[in-house]
Amino acid sequence: MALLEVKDLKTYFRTDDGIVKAVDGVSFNVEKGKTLGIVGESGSGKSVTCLTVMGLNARKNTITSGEALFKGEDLLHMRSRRLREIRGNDIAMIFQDPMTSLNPVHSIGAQLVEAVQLHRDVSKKVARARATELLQAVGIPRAGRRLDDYPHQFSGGMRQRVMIAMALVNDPDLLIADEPTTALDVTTQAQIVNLIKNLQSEFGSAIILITHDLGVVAETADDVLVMYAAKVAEQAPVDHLFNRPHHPYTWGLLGSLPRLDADVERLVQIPGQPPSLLSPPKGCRFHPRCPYVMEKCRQVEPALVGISGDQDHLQACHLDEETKDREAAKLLAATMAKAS
Amino acid sequence: MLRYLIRRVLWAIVLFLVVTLVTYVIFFLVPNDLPSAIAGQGSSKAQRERAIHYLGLDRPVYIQYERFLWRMVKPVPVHVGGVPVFVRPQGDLGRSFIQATPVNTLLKSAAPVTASLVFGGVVIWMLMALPIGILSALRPRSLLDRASMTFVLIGISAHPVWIGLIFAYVFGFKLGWFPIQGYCDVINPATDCGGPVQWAYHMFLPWITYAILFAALYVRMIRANVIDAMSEDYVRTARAKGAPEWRVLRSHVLRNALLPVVTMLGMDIGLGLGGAIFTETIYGLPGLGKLAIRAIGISDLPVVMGVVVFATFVIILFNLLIDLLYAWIDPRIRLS
Amino acid sequence: MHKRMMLSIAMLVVGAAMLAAASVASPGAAQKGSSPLGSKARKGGILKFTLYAGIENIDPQRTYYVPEWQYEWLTARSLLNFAHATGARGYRLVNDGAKSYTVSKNGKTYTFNIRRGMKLSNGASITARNYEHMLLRVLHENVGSPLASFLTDPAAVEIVGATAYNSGNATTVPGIKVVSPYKLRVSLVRPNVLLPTLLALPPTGAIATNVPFSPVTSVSASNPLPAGGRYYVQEYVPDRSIKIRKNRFYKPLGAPPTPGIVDGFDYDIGVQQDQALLLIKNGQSDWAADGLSPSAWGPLFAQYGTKGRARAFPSSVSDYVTMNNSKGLFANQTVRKAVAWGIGRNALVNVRGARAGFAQCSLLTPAIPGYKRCRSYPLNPNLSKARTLARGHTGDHINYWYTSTIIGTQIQQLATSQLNAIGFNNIDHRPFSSGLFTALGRRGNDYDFAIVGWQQDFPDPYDYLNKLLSGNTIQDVQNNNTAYFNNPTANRLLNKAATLKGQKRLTTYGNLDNRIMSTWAPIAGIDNRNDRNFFSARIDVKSIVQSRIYLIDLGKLALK
Repeated sequence: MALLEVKDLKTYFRTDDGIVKAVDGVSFNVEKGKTLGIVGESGSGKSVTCLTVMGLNARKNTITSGEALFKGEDLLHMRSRRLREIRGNDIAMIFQDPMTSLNPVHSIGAQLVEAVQLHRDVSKKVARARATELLQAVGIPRAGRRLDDYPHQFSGGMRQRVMIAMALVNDPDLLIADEPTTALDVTTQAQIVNLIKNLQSEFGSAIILITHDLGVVAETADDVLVMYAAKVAEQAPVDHLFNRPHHPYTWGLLGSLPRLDADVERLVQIPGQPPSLLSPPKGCRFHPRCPYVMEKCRQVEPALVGISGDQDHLQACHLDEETKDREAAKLLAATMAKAS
Repeated sequence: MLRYLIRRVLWAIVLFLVVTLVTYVIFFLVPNDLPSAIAGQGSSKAQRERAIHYLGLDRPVYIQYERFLWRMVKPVPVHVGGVPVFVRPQGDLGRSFIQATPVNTLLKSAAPVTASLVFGGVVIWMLMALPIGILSALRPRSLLDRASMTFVLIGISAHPVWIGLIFAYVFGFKLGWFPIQGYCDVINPATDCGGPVQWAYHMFLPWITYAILFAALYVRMIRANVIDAMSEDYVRTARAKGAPEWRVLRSHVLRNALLPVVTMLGMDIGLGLGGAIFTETIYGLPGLGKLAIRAIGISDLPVVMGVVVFATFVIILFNLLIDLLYAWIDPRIRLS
Repeated sequence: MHKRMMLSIAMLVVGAAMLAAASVASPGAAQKGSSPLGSKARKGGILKFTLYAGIENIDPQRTYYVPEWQYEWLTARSLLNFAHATGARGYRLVNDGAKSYTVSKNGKTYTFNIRRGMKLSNGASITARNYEHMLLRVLHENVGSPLASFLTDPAAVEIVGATAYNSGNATTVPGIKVVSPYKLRVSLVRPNVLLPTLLALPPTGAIATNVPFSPVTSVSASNPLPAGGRYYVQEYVPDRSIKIRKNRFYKPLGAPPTPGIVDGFDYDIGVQQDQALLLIKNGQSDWAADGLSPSAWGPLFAQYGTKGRARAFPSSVSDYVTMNNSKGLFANQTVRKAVAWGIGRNALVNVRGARAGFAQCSLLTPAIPGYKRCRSYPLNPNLSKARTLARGHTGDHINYWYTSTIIGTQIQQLATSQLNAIGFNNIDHRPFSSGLFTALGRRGNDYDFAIVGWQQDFPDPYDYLNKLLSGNTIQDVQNNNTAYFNNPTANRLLNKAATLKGQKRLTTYGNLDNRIMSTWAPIAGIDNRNDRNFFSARIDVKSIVQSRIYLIDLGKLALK
């Protein structure tokens, strides 16, 4: 049994303008100790998916359906008391902007201690010791002395490390990281990504890494979920995806990857804008932007099915397989050529 | 911190001088009939000239201002056991033109009354505003929220004079639950009625009247601040850590949402101490507001200046204290 | 949407409730349980009065305000006093602190024989020294007594050496001499009959000789203020309260006794006028000593009439039109008479509310001795007569100066419309937030028309007719004769009347008032203002006595 099994998750928000379908039928599994990368543009539903799993959406005007089985217990239909026991304890989450995600008027020590004492009946002294331990683990120098410092006294990268420490302080089985590096500069990004990887091997937690950056996914993920417009476009183990991408959107993402080692004149863009989730396009949601669009795409929504020879690799596109293989190969050759 | 304090104190002195000078100038620019008021309606020209001269009003304005300042700040020795040890400013604010009572006496008698009203009012309006504001923020657009917004509208629109008259009439006259008006000192009663029980009994309606406007304003502010704070990222983090709602509210939301309230409170207390004019007039509370109104009406310059000096001093002091308090409780400022 | 509509309905309900509450809150609501008839008045008890603006001075030599004088008539034992009688008999001066007095043949020296056996409220005997000390305090510049001007007036009463003493140039007053313990001599620079009137005023009561030459600002057990009258001030806390109690050492000793039925009076200072009305209605207070708000009187008189708990009677305040006789349009006597015929006196009085006053065309009021009813001009405009008199001049320019209070503005608007009705259409207005009278008193200003009021300094027609209409007193600034009326015949008559005594004086002044109005019309009398009063049910209505000088005679009030 997988650590987390999400089945047909749907999250709709009631607004004054109508119902926004932020997540419209997403299923995936996360295995113990493994990393799942969720990629997509802003508005694709990747963050909402995880917030729904954690139960962190506003309760009012939110309709949720589906299942999210964590070690067999359905998180979506759980009593809030039990859910609070799991949050911060068995499943932890870190967010995109560490400056605003930490409370500016409490010391980071206080916030770390709070994370500990919410779930363990220990004294403040013990909690502080544990906090110091974690700060050292995430690479904060002179950790013990910095416990009483405030968030604004840390740099951006340091703050994210603190967030990570706070998430891992109770040794969770699953860590959800929602765009942890987006708000940081490039060098710090690399550091954080490395940190997460090292901590995973040290603590043994599974990770869901949400990002729009395919490069990070390539480095860290075991499995990848590509989301577009609240639905899954493609999902596969990481090397399968990169070696044999089978969705025009994924091709667009790969082609638009900036590469330092390539002589690229212009980044390839995916033309157009993501669709409105109030009234998504009929048929395939990507069809208005797809260079390969057919008449069928405009009418019929493609089902998420496996590709031949690889049952772990799912994609939702009407294009036939030969075309997709051909285009995938072309894309890879082009990028390789540029690289050499 | 010390440098900050010194800078603030210097600014306070400058502000004080500016305010008192402007008041002096305005007083002499506005037409008044002082000679007649002081010497009497039927007095002769010679009589009026003598009266004006005696009070120093025939000197140029800047001379009068200088004398006023000097009388206030002139250093006088402080004796400890008969030996002059250090100096303090004399603090003499002169005598009323019309009553000849020393202004310091009038202030000493009026200030505690206004302080009673304002501080009691603060407690009541915070007791009203905090729960209503917070609950409204937690349940936006609910019936409670709409009812509290209606209360806010009424509280801001209804004039304290009107509220005071209605309350005194309904609760004082018709129902007889509270005194219609009047003030009783807590200690050293000046009149027959005194002591803490009578004091609170007489102050109850004035407190509510005074508090309503502020309660309304603060409900609105607290509600807005809490709603904003609830949507902050660190609140989400706290929930993600598994904190129960009450803890999220107390430790994370309120701690941040109520910070600006501290600043506002300091300012409003300072302003209130300057004179809660309407409530004092309706309920016959002999405080600074009433003193100021009467003095302005009869062009009694020393009393007007006395209230201005006192109010300025108090407002500046309070703002300084609140700034220090705020700097202390908000670590972002304290440690910068 | 459903929720929005609910909010609108809620607002409607609230608005309606507020309107309903506003109508409920009018102070005219009837009080249950009115007083039973014909209960016998009893002695004793403490009356509770309220004051809105408080008093300005507790120092007896500094008092100058009607509510202050009202109780001071009872606490002062002056050399002379006014009879506590109603009607014209109330103008009579009687000997009180002075058993008798003589005037020298040249009219300049008064010798007062002090009554023996009088005592202050602390038991100390009253002698001539007490009256000397009082006079010195009146004249001392540190004390700042408004009465000083009347004792240093070169046109009227001037005590020898008083002016020098008052300006700080002398340390004694030769004109005041204690001849023997019970004999006081006062010498004047020139003869004048007003001295006895001045020595009957409340600020001239005997005072303890140790009261310093600086203003007394509070009274308590530790710094008392003994007085020789029927009552004394036991306690004064500035802005809070005054307690007045009976002087157990008071004995008439042959003088007409000052009335005093209750044990004392407690004044509560700072009570807002609408609240005062409520307090009187439920018996927590007995009387508002400085009046109620103007809108309260209509319902009160409607409910209680004018002979019971609510009363209205003439005061010394006289409102009149003052016209600039020295220049422009109103230098012409005929045009001035046009105004006197065309001004709407009744309408102008009614602006001030129910029973605010009585329209009249004289300058004196029934509260001033010598008053004689003026029949020269009507109380309602006679426009045909007015227009005839104004013919040919209606286009001339009028500078109308007025006080810009609410009442002042309403009166101005009404008077302007009345001037328009006469035919005057070229009117410019200038508002004054304060100091109108002083501005009018600056010689050479360019005002033409104003409406002012005058209140007595002391109850004698001199204070009105000579002060306001004699050409002899015109100076550069601070003129009281704002009409700048300077007619040799009138001046001669006014000066002559000032030398008369007794009933002759009063009759002459009464006729002179009428004659000046009908012949020269330098001003146009409008009304005299009423003193309006409302008492609680505790007071025995039969004990409410109004006299010309004392207004409500506090000493005669009794509880049921």
